Amino acid sequence: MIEKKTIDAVLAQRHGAEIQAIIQKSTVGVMGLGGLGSAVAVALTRIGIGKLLLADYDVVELSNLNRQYYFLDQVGLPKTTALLDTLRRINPYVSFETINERLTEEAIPGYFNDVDVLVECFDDPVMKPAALRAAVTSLKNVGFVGASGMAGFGENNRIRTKQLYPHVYLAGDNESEVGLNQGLMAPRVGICAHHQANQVLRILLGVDGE
Amino acid sequence: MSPWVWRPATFETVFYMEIICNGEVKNIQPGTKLVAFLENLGVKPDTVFVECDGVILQKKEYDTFVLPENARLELIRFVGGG
Repeated sequence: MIEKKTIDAVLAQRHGAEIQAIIQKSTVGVMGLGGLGSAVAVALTRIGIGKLLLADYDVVELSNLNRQYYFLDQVGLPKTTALLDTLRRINPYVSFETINERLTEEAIPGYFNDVDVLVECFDDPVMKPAALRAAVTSLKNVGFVGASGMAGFGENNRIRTKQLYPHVYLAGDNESEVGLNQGLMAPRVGICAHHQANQVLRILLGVDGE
Repeated sequence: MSPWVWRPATFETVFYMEIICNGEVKNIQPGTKLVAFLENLGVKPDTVFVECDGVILQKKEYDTFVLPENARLELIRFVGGG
């Protein structure tokens, strides 16, 4: 097994030592491990984030594989279990913690009080504003990156990241919802997920803002 | 008919007031509750994040919150998918 210091050295060389030092001491919470959350978690693990707190109550289904970072042999496993296995294959020295339950607006602040940035990757349109309310109301020192509108195969550049409040952002086109001939698909969900992941990084590095 | 005879209010005498919703002027009846305003816009209240005059409204307030005159309402409507 490759040692931690070897991986860290490669990341520092790639990213810059000062930048990597910040990434490595950062904690990020990801709520929902579907098409958005699984891709965000993979991206942050690849850059050597310090700690990830991953929450989902669901199991991997075959219908998830059109966009989510899971594999055929993981169908039926809890998403937290399956993703953890994949992430450890990328970098086993990232600190991972999982929450295998359905989050509520009331429970979010308790779980994510200590993260630097919280990423909202829920599928449910009711939990999305609920998460934003919880973050803006009760997690004032935590950055937040939500998402809304990424279904189908609409124009790439309509997916945007917009600032709502200081250190609080929303990615997506705000309108593309799941419908007839407009399913959630890997390419566009991936664009949105990586908007979120890059915005997390910008907040962590203190270069966000407009 | 004498002009001094009392008549009950009719549709002609319903008053409207202005609010600003996402930068757009809207005319609503005084006493309009947030939940009715949202439903009238055709959006499900629980998919909307609401800030009124700089204050973030909690979900449990949506049913009872009466929109004040000249309110500056900021709505963010969320769509599903993730």
